[in-house]
Amino acid sequence: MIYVVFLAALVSAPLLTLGTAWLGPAAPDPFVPAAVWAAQCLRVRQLPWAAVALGWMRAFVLAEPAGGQVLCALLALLLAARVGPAGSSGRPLLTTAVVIALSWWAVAALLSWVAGVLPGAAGNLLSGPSNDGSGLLLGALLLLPSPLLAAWRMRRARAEVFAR
Amino acid sequence: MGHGRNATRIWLVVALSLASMAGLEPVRQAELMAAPLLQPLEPLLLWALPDQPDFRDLAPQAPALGAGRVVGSGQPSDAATATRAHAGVNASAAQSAWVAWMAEVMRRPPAADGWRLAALPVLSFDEPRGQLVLAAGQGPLPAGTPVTHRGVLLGFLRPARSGSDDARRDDGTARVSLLGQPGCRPVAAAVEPGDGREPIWCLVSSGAQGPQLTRPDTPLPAGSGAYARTRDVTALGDGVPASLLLGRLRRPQAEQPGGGLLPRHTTRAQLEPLLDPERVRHVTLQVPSNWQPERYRMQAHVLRSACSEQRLVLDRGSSDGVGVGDVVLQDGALVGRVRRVGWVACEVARGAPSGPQLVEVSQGLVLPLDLAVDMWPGERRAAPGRPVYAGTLAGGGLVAGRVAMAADGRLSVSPPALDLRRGVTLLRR
Repeated sequence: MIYVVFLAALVSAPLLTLGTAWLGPAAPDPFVPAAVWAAQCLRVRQLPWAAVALGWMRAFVLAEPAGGQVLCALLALLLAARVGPAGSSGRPLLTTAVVIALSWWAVAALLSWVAGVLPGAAGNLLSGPSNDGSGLLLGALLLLPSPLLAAWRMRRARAEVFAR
Repeated sequence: MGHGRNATRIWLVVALSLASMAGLEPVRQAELMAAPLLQPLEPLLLWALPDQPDFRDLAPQAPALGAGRVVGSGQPSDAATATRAHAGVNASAAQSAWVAWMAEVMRRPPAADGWRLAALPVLSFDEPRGQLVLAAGQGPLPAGTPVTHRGVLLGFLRPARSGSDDARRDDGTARVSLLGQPGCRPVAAAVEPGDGREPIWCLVSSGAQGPQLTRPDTPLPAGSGAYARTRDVTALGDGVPASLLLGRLRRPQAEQPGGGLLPRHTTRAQLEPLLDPERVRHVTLQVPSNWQPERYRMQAHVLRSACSEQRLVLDRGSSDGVGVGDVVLQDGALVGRVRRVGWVACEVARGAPSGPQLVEVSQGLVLPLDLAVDMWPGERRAAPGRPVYAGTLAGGGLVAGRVAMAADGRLSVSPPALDLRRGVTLLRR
């Protein structure tokens, strides 16, 4: 399963490039759904490697040192793993996405603040335009249809049962 | 047990992250390994990305030195470049301005047969040793060759090893022993006292405080400020060209009762250098005709997924021979310099190099760029929109951008935009 996360991170990198090229810094961040999927499907012991894959690729696109983004991804994944599996309702999926977006943004903002305060650290921490949070939150909203989809699937399953 | 292993993994990732943020070079180089992983998806981006602005109005003005050979390199971008060159209105003027500036730097007697004059970029100044470090290019450089800048003799090339005739070191650099520093050979000189008097012959050698003039038999002239030049002593077997400037005579003085200073007539005097070696960016020397300033040139592609205003990632790395400081250009316009090199990719810092930059202030007049507006007198002011050229040799004559007016009223250089759909050229610095 970890290989699928690596693949998702690889695909998310050009998608983020495309999004920011067409829509600017507020483009929905595809790394958030990828991180949600990792937090939902992987075991806790696999999360550090998923954080490396996601953070490394995102940092590569944002032209930043990978360390900052890997730390953001690691904390976001560890927090999101506590939300629990999505099950059939789909709601925890959206909750996980919001937790990931907010925690990722909070750690990024903290590191950016440290970069501003710490002399000589500006080039080594976070500086990318997509760290302002809007892209991450919009990325979380990409999963907004998931509860609706889950509800639709549930209604359809019930209808099939009644039809029999 | 499992919990402990998991904690170890987390701490390992945290430690690597901190090393990356601390700028640990092996970790930062390893990060560039993402480039080949993303390469297969690049065609998708090429197809889907919006059109990038290019520097169509800027490239035709790129002078021929360095850039001219790019046009004729037989690369895929040649057609686009040629189209741009035909659309240019100012190419010949910019080219002649650049050549005039180079001629000014190289002000020296003509080279002998089988030799030619070349401007070499200065990489650094080794102050403790009193040596300049040059980029030596390809091929051997004869040790002992006089090194000049604008007609001023700076010193001589040092042998790479004791007893060697070659000045080129294994790392591709050469060192210049500055005049008057320990280890530099003496030079026959002539002091021009002025007032129509005959020049006074003397010797310039190393002294405790720099170059020292010695005339063993007669006291040196009391008048201060006289210039010393090299003397033609080919009859004695010394091939240093005549009439190169050496420095200005510093008048020896003796303190008198009451605090006054009077000239002291001695047979020794200090020679005040005319150039600050720390500020010299080019030197001129006579090199063999087959000497090449550039070690290699190669085409590379920009990874569109890792392209920002400050940095680029190219699909060439140390396995292709790319080195830190290499110059990246596109259609004669300077894109940036290589900042970090991984095994299969390299990171480029965009913008003009930190060396001197030249601005064409008017038709055919090229001056070193000073971004403080007050430093530009009257009509020599660099108006916004004028092209700026990189002043280092490997990037010499390449368009580095245009003069722009910053918000605080100071001038700035706006770099040319990069056309991501085409490749770039890498030059050894």
